Amino acid sequence: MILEVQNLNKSFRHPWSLQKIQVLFDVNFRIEKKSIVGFLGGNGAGKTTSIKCLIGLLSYQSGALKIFGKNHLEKAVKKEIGYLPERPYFYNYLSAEEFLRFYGQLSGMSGKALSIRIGELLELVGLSHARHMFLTQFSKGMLQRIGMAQALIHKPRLLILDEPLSGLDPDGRRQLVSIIQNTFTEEDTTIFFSSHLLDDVDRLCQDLVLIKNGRVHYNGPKSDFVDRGKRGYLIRHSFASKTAVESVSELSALQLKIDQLREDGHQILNIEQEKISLDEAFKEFQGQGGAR
Amino acid sequence: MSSPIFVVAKNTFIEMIRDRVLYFVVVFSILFMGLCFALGQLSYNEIFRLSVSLGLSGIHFCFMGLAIFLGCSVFFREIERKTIYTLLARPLSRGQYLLGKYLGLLSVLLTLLFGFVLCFTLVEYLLAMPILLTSYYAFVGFFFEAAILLSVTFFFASFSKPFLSITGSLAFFLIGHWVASLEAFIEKSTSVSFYLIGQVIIHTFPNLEALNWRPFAISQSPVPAYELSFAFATAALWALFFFMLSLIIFRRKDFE
Repeated sequence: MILEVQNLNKSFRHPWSLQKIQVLFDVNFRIEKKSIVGFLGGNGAGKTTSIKCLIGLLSYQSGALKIFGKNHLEKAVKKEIGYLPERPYFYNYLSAEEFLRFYGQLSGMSGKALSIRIGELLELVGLSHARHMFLTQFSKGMLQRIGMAQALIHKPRLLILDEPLSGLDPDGRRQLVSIIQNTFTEEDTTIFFSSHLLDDVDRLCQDLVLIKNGRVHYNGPKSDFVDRGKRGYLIRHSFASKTAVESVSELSALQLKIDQLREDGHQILNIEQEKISLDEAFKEFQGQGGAR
Repeated sequence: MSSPIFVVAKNTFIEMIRDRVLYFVVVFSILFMGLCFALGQLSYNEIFRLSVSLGLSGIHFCFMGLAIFLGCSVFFREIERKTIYTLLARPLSRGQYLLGKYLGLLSVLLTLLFGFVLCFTLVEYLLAMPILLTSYYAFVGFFFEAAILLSVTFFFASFSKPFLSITGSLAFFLIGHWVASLEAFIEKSTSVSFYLIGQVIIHTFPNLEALNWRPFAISQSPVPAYELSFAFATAALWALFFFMLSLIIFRRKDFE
């Protein structure tokens, strides 16, 4: 088991009225094997709050959070986690190399091994040319990439990214998606990332966790989630040089339709299952109030 | 492998010492110190005593201002820029983080104090004043006081915004210097409520005037060893007290 969240409840107090505002309600999800998992939900759904509870930045009222089968706050566990918050700004007056060395040392690395790893990562994130530049001179895309590098410096087994692609231009997003893909294929790292950019999630993830209004409504393979949105079957047929497409909703109806078309002398050109995209499936999920 | 406390302290030192904002404050402080010395020169007699007194007062005021500025701004910046998020995600306890920050800032203050000592000596030399070892005891007192003040700023910054932290730390600084006078006032006062409030303040706040060794510089006499040791112990205990208070709050803090 890589990650397991059980019955996580979190509430905040209103600063003036001190009224309790619950934002997470018995959140449950798990990641069992190495994969890229997308944590999806609209604004205010509870993605960042859940992640902050996992990292230890927020306390919570009840629940059990386990990473690699241990309490998520244990130092041994933290050594195995890499984390990149949403839209981070780092120390302005450190160079890229100093910055990575700092985070490497905090994770217990030192000496030649750390120097080699810094070189590898600067290469991976395409910032070798900026090795001695201060972070204050970095663009937003460069900051996001150096942020990725700090999260990866100690070769974590679990990488947690909070909206890593938001606020980047298309080129920046493409670069970061490629870094995430490379990390997943080349290192023994499970990647758990929150996002509302469905195209990128679709491209990257094998599994999904869907959250809405502080409740998790789906946790499983992306393909299963999208398959739930299948609508039926499309039959393309022709008769007397005229082509037509018809739709049927169920498999039994499809058989009947095929028999009928054949009896009428139609030629069946092809049959395909109507599929919807992750984007459409997610819109349906949001519209249904998450009742899946 | 370095200790995480040392790693955080070293990073804090590098980050602060390269910050241009710090240099604006330092340049202002040096100008202010120069002005204080210049005012001392306007005197017809007692030029040495007045120049040293005003010069050291200027340094004292600026140095404590720097301690408050550094202590309050460092937390605000770390939380505002979310750098603290990535740090606390590492195998680093909140106590180690806080101690690392404190030691890092203390080393920045020590470096700045060394700069002030150099400026002070240079001005004394340029004004053809005698350079006496007794003048430098005051700087030791400044450092002890800054160590207390820094942990006080940590305490306020652990639960409030920069404006409140600066105001609270400044109030602490002023009351701390006022404690000795207050003691004299309440002895003469006939009001019971004034007496009670005064007693509470006297026993709650450290007497920062006890760390003021400018009179020794002016009278050109050394600070007795027992006073130095007592001041060191007092400063360490007060700094530890406020540091522990900050730690208790900081450990429970949610980063929303």
